[in-house]
Amino acid sequence: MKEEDEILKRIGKRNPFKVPDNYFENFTSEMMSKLPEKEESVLKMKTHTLKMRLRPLYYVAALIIGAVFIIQFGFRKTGSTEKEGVITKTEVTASDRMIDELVDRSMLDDYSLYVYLSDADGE
Amino acid sequence: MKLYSEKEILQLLQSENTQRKAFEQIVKQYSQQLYWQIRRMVFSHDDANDLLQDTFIKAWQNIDSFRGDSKFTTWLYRIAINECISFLKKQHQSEKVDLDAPEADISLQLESDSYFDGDEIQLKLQMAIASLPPKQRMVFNMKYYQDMKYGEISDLLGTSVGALKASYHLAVKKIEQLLNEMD
Repeated sequence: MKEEDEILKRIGKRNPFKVPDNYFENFTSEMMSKLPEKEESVLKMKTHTLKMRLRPLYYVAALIIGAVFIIQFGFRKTGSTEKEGVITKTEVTASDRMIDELVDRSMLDDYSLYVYLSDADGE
Repeated sequence: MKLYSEKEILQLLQSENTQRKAFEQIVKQYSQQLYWQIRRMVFSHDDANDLLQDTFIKAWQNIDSFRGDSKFTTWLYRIAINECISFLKKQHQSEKVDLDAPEADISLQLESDSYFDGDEIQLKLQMAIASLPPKQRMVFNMKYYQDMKYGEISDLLGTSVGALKASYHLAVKKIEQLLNEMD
């Protein structure tokens, strides 16, 4: 005796659900007409992947901009007692050195850096 | 309709020129059985139709990632099952279904559904099935209506045979109890 025998005896297995007339006959052609072209879906996936791959570089660009901002702000504060001309010189030298170091560490060439900074600004 | 073997379909899928044609064959061959699997889970024809279409679109978009680790039909069924379970979860989250008494909602839905022609006792059975958690409902339907072997269900749901047996046993007991309460 199967455990579901009581339900089977009382109700059986008849399917109580129906479908609209010719539903299955027409389903395949309707489904195929809604199916996206393979090229489209591949292209979509590629765009998505490229964006995802660039994302870490946006972060690096944002980090550089942030670092430059902090350094400039910091030097202005600490150098407030010095003469104005000296402060500007130190500020520029320190910022340039810091940027060069960060660019070297992130292994970006000048063109890529320009592209990433432009993209990051545009977002 | 000429039925293609799984091997033939897989061969046709590998070439870009025949891929779309092969997929059309897949839709022809498997739409009915997938539809009934989905319909018994969600009860409404409109929802089942939407989920079946979503299943095929997902399968088409990911067809290149099918590596043949499992049977193609198993892969297709898994997509349908995931679609169903996500749909039911969303339905619960959006509170379209009363979590405390899902069977009451299904009763109202089926009584006004022109694509349901069950009698009173069949309505009661569907109400009792609706009270089961989604995965247990799936197990019950596969075993009771489709006579699937526990091994096959295990491949589809990724649950051990022992756990499936226990789940089916509990589902049967709960349904019997609810049917008795409704009498």
